[in-house]
Amino acid sequence: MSTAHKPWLHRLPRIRPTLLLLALLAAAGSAQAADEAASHADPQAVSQDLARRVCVACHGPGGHASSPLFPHLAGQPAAYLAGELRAFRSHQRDDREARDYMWGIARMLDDRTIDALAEYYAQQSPGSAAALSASQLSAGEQLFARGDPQRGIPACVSCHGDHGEGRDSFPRIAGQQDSYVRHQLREMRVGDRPAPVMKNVLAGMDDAEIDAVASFLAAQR
Amino acid sequence: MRQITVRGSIMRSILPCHPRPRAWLLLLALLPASLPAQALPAFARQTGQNCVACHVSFPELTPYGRFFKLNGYTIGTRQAIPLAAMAQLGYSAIANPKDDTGATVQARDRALLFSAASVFAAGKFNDNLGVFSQYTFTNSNVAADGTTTYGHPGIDNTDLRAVARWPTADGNDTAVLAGLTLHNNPTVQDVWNTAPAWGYPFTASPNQVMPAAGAQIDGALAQQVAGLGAYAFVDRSWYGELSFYRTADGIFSLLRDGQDTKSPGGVARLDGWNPYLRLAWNHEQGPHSWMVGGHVSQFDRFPDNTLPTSGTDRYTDYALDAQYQYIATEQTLSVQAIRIREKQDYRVSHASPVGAGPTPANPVDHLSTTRLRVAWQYQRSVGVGAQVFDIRGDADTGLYAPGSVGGSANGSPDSRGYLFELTWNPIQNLHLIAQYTGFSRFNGGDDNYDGAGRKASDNNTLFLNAWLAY
Repeated sequence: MSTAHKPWLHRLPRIRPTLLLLALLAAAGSAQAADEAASHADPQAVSQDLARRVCVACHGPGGHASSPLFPHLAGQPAAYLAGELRAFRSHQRDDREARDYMWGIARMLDDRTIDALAEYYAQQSPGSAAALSASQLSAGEQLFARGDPQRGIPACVSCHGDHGEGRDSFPRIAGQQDSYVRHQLREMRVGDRPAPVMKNVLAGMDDAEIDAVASFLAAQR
Repeated sequence: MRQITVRGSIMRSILPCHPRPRAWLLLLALLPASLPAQALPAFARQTGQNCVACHVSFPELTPYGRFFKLNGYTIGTRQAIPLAAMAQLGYSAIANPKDDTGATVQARDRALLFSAASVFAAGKFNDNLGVFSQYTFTNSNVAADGTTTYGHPGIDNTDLRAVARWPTADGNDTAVLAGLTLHNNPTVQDVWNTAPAWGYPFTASPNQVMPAAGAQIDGALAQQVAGLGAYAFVDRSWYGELSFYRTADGIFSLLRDGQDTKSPGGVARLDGWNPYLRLAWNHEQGPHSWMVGGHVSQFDRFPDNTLPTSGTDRYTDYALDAQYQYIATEQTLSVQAIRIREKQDYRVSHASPVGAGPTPANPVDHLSTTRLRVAWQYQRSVGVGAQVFDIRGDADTGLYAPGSVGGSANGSPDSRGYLFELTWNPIQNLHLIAQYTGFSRFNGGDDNYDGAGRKASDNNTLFLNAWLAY
């Protein structure tokens, strides 16, 4: 069948295959040069490039995660994020999600990039609060603000800030994903996620109390 | 002479393994070992992440897995030796293993079969260029005696990508992710598991008796064509792609290495560059993700690959597809649906059959293929899945003639049935499957569909399979 009878899509010029392969290889070569340049570039630029090229897939744009599997990173204290990334890289943190997702990511990061990434996410604005019922707020707020001294449960605010905004190596918990907090508190309670301080805090808390605190925190900002 | 059929054509010899099983074997490259990070295959070694980061199940992709593929397989650290390997061992049992003459219907029925082994070379060259390639030794090719099998190597799914990215105004996201792809199987480049190259069932009995009819886009051109395309993923929401397919000859010959290019009917041969347009809308919110889309393609195919002066028949495929995933800490739920409508214009073959090509009684036929699959998985370890499928089209006594097992007594291609599957990953490197395929209609009939007394349910098949990846 002559090309004259073909629809326009078929009437392509005879693209020489070698030119196509050369185009791909040229793209690779120029990108390789860009890679080498980037490796010596400003760590802030490198970290932001990583954030939008890799981290965004799980933690969302600017650290606002959509999937409940992954935590919000926006507004987290830089010291906490940097510490966790180093813990992933050294495998000191070896809970299931650390092994599944973050060991591989962290091994790509040098110290300068870790610090720049942590600073990038610390500067992002936290998201808006979720709506909850009065009973959910009440139970969670009690533990958040006052703890339960009789059972040796300190208030969350004693380490995580008066509004749960975090400080130093203590993470921001206000506005964090409800399901993520529930899962992480359970992991820390049994020691699957190494966190000696939190393990003691959680020793006296049951699942219902964990869920109440997680729901309350998700509603904060 | 008994005719055994695979998608799209009736062959006069017992066919080797259907290309579909080889199409999904790539997932093995993504399986991590049960050992710490230094023992992960291919992409897992590159990213340092375990299977679950990119996969819901085998080989179904998570949103991150789709993002990884659209990024040209470039996330992670380039490996010095980007290799992985896998092997499969299975057992098949067809309901009625004998045809009307007492001959065996399915080779290696009710026997253990080491069906395939693959080597993968996959990973990044740099942050903008990456490749997935697979080379498979298929051990389930059926000999002329119909009972013994032999091995045959050849290239499998291959996808080379070059990508570029443009950030959003605030610099916090990727606004446009664009790429070029060179691949050898229509829809292998797609990232949703509605695509025929990556669709369910992800594995099946290698010598299962298959319905006679199938669309060109539905696997008939796998590892026989070279596809060159460009795509863009905008705001991680809108996907558009335009690809063109040609016969994988000349400089593209490696993309069909192992195919029989010499025998009439041994391989598909297209004329010129054949277009494929794909659009999809993607949305992710919380644990949910959705995709709604479609694609249209047109293939001008020579009836006999050894007679390229005959002119071509034209196949036009329209497809609508949709996918839903719920991915939470402990459970996942997946739903995939696709409907393909093909117009078969036998502008050459109808007037006068050409060589080994089709022998249609009608100048134009239509064929519709519908598949719907639902699967649930607990802790990414144990799972259950089910699918219903329906093929229906114009009766054509030339294409679907009577013949033991593979033929049709009434010339109809209509086939429908269901598939049920249990899966278990005792360790991440090992995937165990118990699968049952049932047919309520086969090649146009329920009872005596082939004119030799065979029932549709005689082709029901139990398939047990284990595959190991490293």
